[in-house]
Amino acid sequence: MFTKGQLRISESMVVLFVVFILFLFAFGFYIKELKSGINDKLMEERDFSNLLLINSLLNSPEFGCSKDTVIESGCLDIKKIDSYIKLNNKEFYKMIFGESVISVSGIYPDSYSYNKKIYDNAKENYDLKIVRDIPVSLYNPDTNGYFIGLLRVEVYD
Amino acid sequence: MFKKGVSGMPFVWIFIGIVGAMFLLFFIKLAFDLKNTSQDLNDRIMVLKVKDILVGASGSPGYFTKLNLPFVDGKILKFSGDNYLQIYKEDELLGRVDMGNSVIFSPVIENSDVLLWTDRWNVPFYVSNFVFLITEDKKYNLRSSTITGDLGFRELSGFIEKLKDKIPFEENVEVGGRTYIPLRSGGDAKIIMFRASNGNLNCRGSSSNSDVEIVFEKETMDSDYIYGYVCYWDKEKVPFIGKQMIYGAIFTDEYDTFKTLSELSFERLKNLVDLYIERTGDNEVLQKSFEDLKIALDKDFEDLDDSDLRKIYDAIEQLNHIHYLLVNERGKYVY
Repeated sequence: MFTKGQLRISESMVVLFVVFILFLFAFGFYIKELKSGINDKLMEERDFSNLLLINSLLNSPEFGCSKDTVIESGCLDIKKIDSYIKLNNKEFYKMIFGESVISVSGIYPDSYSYNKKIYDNAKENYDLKIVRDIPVSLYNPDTNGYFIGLLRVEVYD
Repeated sequence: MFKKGVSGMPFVWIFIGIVGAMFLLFFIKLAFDLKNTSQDLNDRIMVLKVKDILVGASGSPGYFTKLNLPFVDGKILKFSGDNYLQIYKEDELLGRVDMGNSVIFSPVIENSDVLLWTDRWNVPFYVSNFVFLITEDKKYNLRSSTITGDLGFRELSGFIEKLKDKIPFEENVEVGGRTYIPLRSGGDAKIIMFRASNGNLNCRGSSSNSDVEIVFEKETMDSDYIYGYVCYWDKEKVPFIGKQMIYGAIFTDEYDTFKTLSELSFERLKNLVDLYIERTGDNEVLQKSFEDLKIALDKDFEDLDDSDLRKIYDAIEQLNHIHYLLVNERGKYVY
């Protein structure tokens, strides 16, 4: 049998243990919330970077349709795209496009099939991948005609 | 002496005390680690935010704005020679990020209120959108050299006035006067000295009372493709083509940063020339003009001399002329 003193000590220890467990739960919850807040911020930033990449792509002299040195908004020149793919100068453009995959495909009219991978520098082991599809105007200088396409940008982190 | 059952009691409390203290220390350390990690991440997000703003601006040509960046208040923004944006808090580096292909001409920024202006670099086709960034307290003084070179004083002053008129930082840029002292002598304004020359483009170096000297080919002063050299105090001369690069030299304090950004821009120009040679495969005349420009550019940036710059200038002018004729004749733009 326990003495009265020993019982009181055991009781205090149980209370301490329960408080400690509760404290541990609260701390775990706080860490989880903190981590999720930071992840949200990072995700927001990555998302914004993805949009910027699309913006710089659409406004780049390498791909954008240009008239009198002014880049037309939301339009890609397919002859420039084909020339860029043929030159295959990936090293220099890593500075602009980083670890991403950029492709473009024609969607309307159906009769015009165009499907090209502009840039491919995918990251093998990535934590995050953001994919965004943007409708664009595709310009064919040979026919002086436009058709509708889809620009796909995948950014890895 | 304690009885048999009582003698163990203080040891239990000592044990609880030690374990409790260990837990307390563990959690205090964890809390500090978490705080540091959170701070590091916040700093990284801040650096990325600044980068995003600048990269975003570099995608919008012909843009001028006043910006307030509250998250960089009390911090220092620097662009290093390898084109990295670095943010400091006093001497502590909070973060650095590669600016990639964005061309940001800027002094050290120590204020959260900044002025931002962007302008296209067309030579003759659009190559890059330059971003110029300063703070409201910065002063720039544009002067004509006391030895005006092969241009009369009035003519040179007229040229500087025209350059100034395009800069939207009206309060910060002044022309003429002798009241300012150069930054390198601990003064209050960056002094940029201009000189025109008819060939033989050399800087006067140590004898000039300025931070930067810009010497240009007289014949090209009215052209968008004006060429010459930028000479930072006590450094090698850096070649330039186009007025936008002159603006770059005005607003960049560091020689290394200006040189890196100029090299980067020339590299992109070379890549675009290759691309246009492919793209103009169906037009021999225009393709030949692009090939001539490629030949003129076929030298390391550092080794470009007066005659190389002349060849590049001639090739750009010729290409622009042929493109103009093509547009008039067929109504088709290539760039």
